Amino acid sequence: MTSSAKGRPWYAGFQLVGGAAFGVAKDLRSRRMGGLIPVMIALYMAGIVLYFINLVSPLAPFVYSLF
Amino acid sequence: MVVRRTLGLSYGFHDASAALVVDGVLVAAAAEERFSRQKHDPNFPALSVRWCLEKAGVAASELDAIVYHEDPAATFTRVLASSLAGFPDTRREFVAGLKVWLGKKLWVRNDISKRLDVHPDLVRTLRHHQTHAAQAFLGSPFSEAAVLSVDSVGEWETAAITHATYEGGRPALKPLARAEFPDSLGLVYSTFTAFLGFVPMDGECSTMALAAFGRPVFADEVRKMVRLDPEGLIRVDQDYFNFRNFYADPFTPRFLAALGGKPRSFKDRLPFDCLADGPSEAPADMNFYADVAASIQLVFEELMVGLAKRAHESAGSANLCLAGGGALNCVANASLLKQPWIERLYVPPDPGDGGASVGAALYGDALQGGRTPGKVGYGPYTGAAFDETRDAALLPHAKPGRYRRFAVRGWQPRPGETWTSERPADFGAVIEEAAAAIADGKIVGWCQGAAESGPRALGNRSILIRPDRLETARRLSTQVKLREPYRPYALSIAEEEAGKVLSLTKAVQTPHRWMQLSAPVRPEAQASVRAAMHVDGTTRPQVCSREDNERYHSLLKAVGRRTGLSAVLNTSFNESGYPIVGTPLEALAMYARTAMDLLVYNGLVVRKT
Ligand SMILES: [Fe+2]
Repeated sequence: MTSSAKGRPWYAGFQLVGGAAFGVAKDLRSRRMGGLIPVMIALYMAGIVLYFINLVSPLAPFVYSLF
Repeated sequence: MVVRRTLGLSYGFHDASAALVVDGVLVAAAAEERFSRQKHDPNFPALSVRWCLEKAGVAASELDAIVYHEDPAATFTRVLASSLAGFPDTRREFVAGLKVWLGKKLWVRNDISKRLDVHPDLVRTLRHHQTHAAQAFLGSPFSEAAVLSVDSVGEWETAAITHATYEGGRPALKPLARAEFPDSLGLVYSTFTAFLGFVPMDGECSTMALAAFGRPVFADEVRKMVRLDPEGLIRVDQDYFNFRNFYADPFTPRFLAALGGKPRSFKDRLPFDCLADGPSEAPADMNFYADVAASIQLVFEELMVGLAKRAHESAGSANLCLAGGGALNCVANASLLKQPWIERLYVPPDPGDGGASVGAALYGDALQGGRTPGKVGYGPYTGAAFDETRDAALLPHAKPGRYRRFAVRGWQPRPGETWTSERPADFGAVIEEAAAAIADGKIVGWCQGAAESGPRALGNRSILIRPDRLETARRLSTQVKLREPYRPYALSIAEEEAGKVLSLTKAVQTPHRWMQLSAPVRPEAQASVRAAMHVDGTTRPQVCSREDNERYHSLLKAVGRRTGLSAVLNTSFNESGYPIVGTPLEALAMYARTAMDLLVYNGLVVRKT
């Protein structure tokens, strides 16, 4: 499938991943579970760390075998 | 003129599917399982998407919107909240949920944008029950309706009532009431399905089938577990259930105590048979399971009628649209249509999550540009069609004797068996040949044109026999379908003769045409459709008119000229546990493995000699 004017720009991943993370916080707050937002942030941070470790080939098996 | 192209997607839970709407018209819809051959395939529907785009001659870069069936952020908060609420008992669920949600599911918009290489702004999400409501209403012939959707769980919603209308040509879906997790009627039914030894989210039809063999002696117990609620639609007493950890351990001690028995192991054979000559004698411990099935089925029907009444009253409409997995319960649907306050009922061809992609695409399209109300949006034949000539070229090389070891258990090809194939110039001759074989007690595989979307085969991917021959039906069950004997077969009947066999309370509507209702068979006609009838004297009919399906209708009439009744027993063209066949090669593979006598694929006729 080819890129076009409506194709995917370089920042798409940041926009969509950030949007989803923000969406969770918004939904938690609307359900009066805003207290869980710090838990969420901690989980995201852990996720980001795992994401970068996963990029290093020799270390990747330690991450993807978790999932 | 501006052309709008909207792709709808549903995946991630079960029954992944894709649908494409171009300028308000549904041009393609198919479940991924039909291409990947993995039953209930939940993965990204790459093959269906490719097929949808190819069929319409559209490139992914030309799409105006891609609409996903649910809001992943809201679903994730439910998963998070429910697995934390049960902590530490639910710690395994918590870890598993985090892995799959943070690892994959939460980023579904990014996933779609990446796979299709489209701009993120084009990827949208709807609420799951909004999708269900759109799926039911936008396909219906109504310009306004009450919509009831009932399933296991969407984001948080487990059931919803919507008043659907059109405002200035655009659909307006006004939510009126909803039930939220863990108050889920769908999950209650699935818990009973698991108790009865079937796979939840798949074996619900077996629960419904088994119910006909039992008496609802536990109905009062079940009524204590789940009831209507003036506030939240449905109230489930959580002492009985363990929805937070449903797959690990769905039964609580209180649930087991209320029924006074242990769950059936799937290895324990159920001794019930729809095709038995007399009433079947079952041991007490097996009758217990039939009674449990009858009880949950009865209470489910009562609750569906209650919910529909509430929908009717709050929306002020005599038109009812149904969607969600709950709408697959054809016995409950029949009790809905019996109600005097419902005039017309509409259930989309694929009311479950497999059809959610259709709802997402239709609604996404309508929001961009409007839609003509008041006509049925689409029929059930929206799936893939295949040309049989290429696969037919393999036939001269077929060596039936060599397929012996692949044959289904209980059947072997005759020694020296050969296949002959022909392609009559005139399709009338194909119909006559198939009709003659059916009348003669043969088992006929019948594939024509585009596949049906949804779980029912409606004469384009069907296996057909005479409906009055029990021996042929038994042969079909044991040597072709490997079907559990407690599950009844369905009946296809030409509309002109439906009144002779069925006693219908209301005029024929789409649920009668698409096997979405069970209907009582007239006592005087029972012998003529005995093999397609359940033990309670009902059948699940497909009332077929010429407009519905011209070729199939002609076949029914040709059978009628030979047997006196334009009807056949119709079952889906698949082996139990497999998706319905698509390509000619898949049909031929099943033909080779089973006792099927004749195979018709479009204009090609194959017979065993
Ligand atoms: Fe659903």
